[in-house]
Amino acid sequence: MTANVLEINGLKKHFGEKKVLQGVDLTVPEKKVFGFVGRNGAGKTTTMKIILGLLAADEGTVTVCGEKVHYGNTKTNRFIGYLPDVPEYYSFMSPAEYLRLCGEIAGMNSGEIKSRSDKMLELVGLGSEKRRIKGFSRGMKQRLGIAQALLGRPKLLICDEPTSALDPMGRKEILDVLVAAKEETTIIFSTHILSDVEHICDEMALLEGGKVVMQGTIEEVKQKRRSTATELRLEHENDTKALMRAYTELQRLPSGDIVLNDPAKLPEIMRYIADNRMDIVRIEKQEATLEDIFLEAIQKTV
Amino acid sequence: MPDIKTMLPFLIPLIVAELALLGFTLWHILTHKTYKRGNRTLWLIVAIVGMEFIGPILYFILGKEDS
Amino acid sequence: MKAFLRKEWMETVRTGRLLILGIIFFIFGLMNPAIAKLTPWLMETMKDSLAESGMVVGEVTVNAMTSWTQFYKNGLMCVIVIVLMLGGVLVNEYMKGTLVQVVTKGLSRRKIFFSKMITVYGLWTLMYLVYFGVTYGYTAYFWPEDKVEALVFGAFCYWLFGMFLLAFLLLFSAIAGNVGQVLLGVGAVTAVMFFLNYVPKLQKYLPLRLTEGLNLSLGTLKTEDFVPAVIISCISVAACGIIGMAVFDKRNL
Repeated sequence: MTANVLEINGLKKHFGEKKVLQGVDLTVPEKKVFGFVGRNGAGKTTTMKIILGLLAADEGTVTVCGEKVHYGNTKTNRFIGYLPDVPEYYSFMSPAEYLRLCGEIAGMNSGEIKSRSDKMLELVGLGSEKRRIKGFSRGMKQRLGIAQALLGRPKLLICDEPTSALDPMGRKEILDVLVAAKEETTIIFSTHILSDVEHICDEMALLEGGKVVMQGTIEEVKQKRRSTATELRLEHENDTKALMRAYTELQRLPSGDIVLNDPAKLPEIMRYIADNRMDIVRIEKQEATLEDIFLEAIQKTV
Repeated sequence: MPDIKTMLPFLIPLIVAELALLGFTLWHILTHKTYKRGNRTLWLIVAIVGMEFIGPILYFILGKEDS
Repeated sequence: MKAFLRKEWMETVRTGRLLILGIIFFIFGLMNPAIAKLTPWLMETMKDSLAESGMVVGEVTVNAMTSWTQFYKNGLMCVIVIVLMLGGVLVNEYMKGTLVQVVTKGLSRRKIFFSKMITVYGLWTLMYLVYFGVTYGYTAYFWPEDKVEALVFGAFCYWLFGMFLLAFLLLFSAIAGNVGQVLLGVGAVTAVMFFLNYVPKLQKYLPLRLTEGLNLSLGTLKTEDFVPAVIISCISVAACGIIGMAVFDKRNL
């Protein structure tokens, strides 16, 4: 028995000519919020659907809580709560009726369903909603989706782009709910919105070109770039050009900033600037945002 | 025309049934803003013109939205 | 599975499907004896125009048989209506994506398909009983002394014919991606049957024979003449169920 809720090894999948996944390896430890990041079309949804047994993999294995996932009728889904990117429900039901259906399908007893569904609806703020789902807004459907996914106390909650289609208010509500849910379960959520990852995730993986190109805690990932690069801006274009000529290892960003990747060279360059009486606008150690790291990682693989 | 009395057992339930069908159809058309195809005026005309049963059937098969 | 069946029932009631079908089949059932009852009067009013064109209308007698003739004639309408109304029973769920959550909650695909089968067959049976019941009731009321032969078996055959087409509807629902394809498939099966019906040797085996229950009452066909078609229909229903389930197991939701 491992402490990893989810393990993926060498997962491959193609649709026609297009190779969507080319050997994905991923492990997700317990009780973490795990951000699964990638561009649109990188294969996030495909990976999630394979985890849920909704798609067949070409190669590779997926293990949930120590049990292998099979395509079609997989038993591992009893561990999982799933929130699809665009959740759709039976619109003629009320939220409570829908949760009752879900609970009964999952084999919960009726007393448990009642108490659990009331609690979940309360958690997502739909407790007093007696209307049928027909008239629900996008955000309400998303919140009902979380209630539905958490109903059976899953060990693993999988959310596919839970915040993408929502306005900032709706996004914050969903993120708050996810943070609250972290007490009980491991959460994997996919997104292309990096600030969401920075806000709530403990760990993350970046999917690009059908592979996981980066995985680790947020701190680890940021560490890779921290304190190595310095950004420098000079007042005059002529000075900038002169400096670039003097030190060929310097790079120029499109914004006009100069970037130095080797910290050992910094004192020498500073002396050069001082000797030549160049005007500095600003100089700063680059605090890499996830965005930068991803852009860099993506460029490497392309 | 045969004696109206012999036709009454047909007429009364028939009228009730058709009115119920028409009423339900009209209620459904009027409480929905969007349709799979066509617009409200079209479906009202279809439902009323073909009221004996064709109109409502057409509406529920072709015009009613799924959700 | 009980939960999913209850959902199906809730859907049938709340979307008004039950009400609409109930009213329509009630009207259909009512029309049969009503038209029979009106026939003499219709003949009377048209007598003059018919006489002009050289046709002589004799005394028209109507009886229970006239009503049952209508019953078989309009049966096809009932089948068409039920097929059209239920064409989306499974396909609409794929298109909306509602089944994804039911499956990930752990309901097996077989149970879903089986529930749909029960819903479709159940609804048809219920509606057919309304249709049959109303015609039967009125006919017995107006012509109580008339005895019609082999009524129940003839009506059963027509019901089975509906089951046969609905079995294909379910099978195509497991394969197809939208309502149009499902209806096209059912239409194609019907067309092939009508086409094959031109081959006299095959007539006995085609489920289309099941719609000829009237000839049973008239005595032009015997019960034995229906047996091969009944057997073939039952086999088809079972086969469609098994194949449909196998396809549905592997399909992309």
